[in-house]
Amino acid sequence: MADRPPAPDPAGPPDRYPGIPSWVKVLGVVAALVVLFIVFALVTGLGGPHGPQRHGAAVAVAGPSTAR
Amino acid sequence: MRLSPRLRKGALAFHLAVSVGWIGAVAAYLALDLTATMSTDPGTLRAAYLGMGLIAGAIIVPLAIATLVTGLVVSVGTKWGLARHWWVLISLALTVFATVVLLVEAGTIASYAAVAANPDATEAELRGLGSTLVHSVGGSLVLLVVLVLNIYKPAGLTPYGWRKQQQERRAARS
Repeated sequence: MADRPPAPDPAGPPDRYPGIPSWVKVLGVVAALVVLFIVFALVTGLGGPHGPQRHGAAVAVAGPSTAR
Repeated sequence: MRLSPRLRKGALAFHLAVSVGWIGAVAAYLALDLTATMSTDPGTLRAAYLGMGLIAGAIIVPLAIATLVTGLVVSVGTKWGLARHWWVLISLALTVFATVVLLVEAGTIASYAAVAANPDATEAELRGLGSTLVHSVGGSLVLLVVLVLNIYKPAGLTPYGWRKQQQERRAARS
């Protein structure tokens, strides 16, 4: 987080919204590609089992002995 | 509500400490995660999973929550605002996303640590525990993106920020 906001533009703001900056668009495209890759990996099983259920077997194995 | 200069600096110092600490703690966690992924030695696996559980539960989760809270305070309490600048808004979204994934993943990590803490756990059970490497590497990248955004502060007002700026200019003129 920054310490100070930028100084106001002495020329004043433009009359219309100047639009989304190009760096935000690039970041959005990269984020969309990452999400697509994650969805692809989940659908095809590339990343293996996912979510809390993936360790269920290990917990079930540990259960009886920890209860002792 | 605007913070006084003294409060603003204090909040910013706290925010920097916990957010950079979060990245450092994830780096330490990554070393253990890599060890757990690559090792087959039961003793090493047990130590790695126990360490991962401790670091995630006692350090990373509190630092993540503290980062989110102090980030909100610093942005709302200054002229930057929460939704006026793209870099602040994206930083917030990424931090919320990283924190939610972390909180979900913390349950998995705690269960691995519970198995590792069980002296009766067999070698096969320890080797059968999974890896959280995808999440820890992905989380590190997300945190680095947020760090870069916070340092460079790329210019760009959101539509909301632009409207607020227009309103303030009009109010200042009248």
